[in-house]
Amino acid sequence: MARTGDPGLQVERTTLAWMRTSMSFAVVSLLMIRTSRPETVVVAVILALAGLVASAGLGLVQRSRHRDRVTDFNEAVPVHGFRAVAAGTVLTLLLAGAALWCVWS
Amino acid sequence: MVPSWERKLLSEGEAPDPRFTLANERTFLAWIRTSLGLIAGGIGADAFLTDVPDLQRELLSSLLLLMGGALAVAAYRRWWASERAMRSNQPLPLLGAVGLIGYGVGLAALVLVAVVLLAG
Repeated sequence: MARTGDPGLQVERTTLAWMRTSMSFAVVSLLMIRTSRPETVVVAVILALAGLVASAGLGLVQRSRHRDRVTDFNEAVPVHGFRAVAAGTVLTLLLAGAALWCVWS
Repeated sequence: MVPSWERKLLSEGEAPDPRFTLANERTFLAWIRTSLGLIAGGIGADAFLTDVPDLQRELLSSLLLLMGGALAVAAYRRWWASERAMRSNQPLPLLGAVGLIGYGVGLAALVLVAVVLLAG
C-alpha cells in the first residue's frame, strides 16, 4: 500500500466507507430474491444479481482509486468524488425502483 | 476532460482542505447506507410480513422504499450543497430535508408496529 502522510487516515476511512456501502448494497440487492411473488421470482433474481454486479463494480472502482487518492492527498491536490457520488445515488435509486417493481408487479 | 456538471461545481470559490472533501463524501456514504437500510426494510416487509393483508403490506413496503429513494436524493443534494459551501467558505447547510426524513423514519416505524400488532 502507498505510504500515507495523513495522520487521520482520512483516505483510508473514506475507502472503507465505500466498501461498507457497496457491501450493504450487495446484501440489500440479494434480499430481493425473497420477493413475496413466486410468479416473478426469476426477474427478482436477475435484478438481485444485477445489484450484486453493480456493488462489486462500485467496490472495485473505489479500491483502485485508493492509491491515487493517497497520492493526491499527500500532494494536497484537491480530491473529488463527483462521479462516484452520482453513481452511488443513481444505483441506490435504481435499487429502490427495482424493489418497488418486485412489490407491485 | 472535466464534464460540465463538474465544471459547474468547480467554478465557484477554491478547493477546500482535502480532509473536508473526504469527510463530506463519508457523510454522503453514511446517508446512503441509511437509505439502503430503509430499502432493506421495504423489501423485508414485503417478503416477511406474510400474515398482513396484501394491500397493507404493499403500501407499507412502498412507503419504506420511497423514503429510501428520497433519502438517497437528499444525501446527494446535501453533499452537493456542502461541497459548494466549503468552496466558497460559507457555513454548511442545515439538515433541512434530511432531518424531516428522520421524522419520516420514526413515523414508518410506528406504522410498522401498528400493522404488525393489528395483523397479530
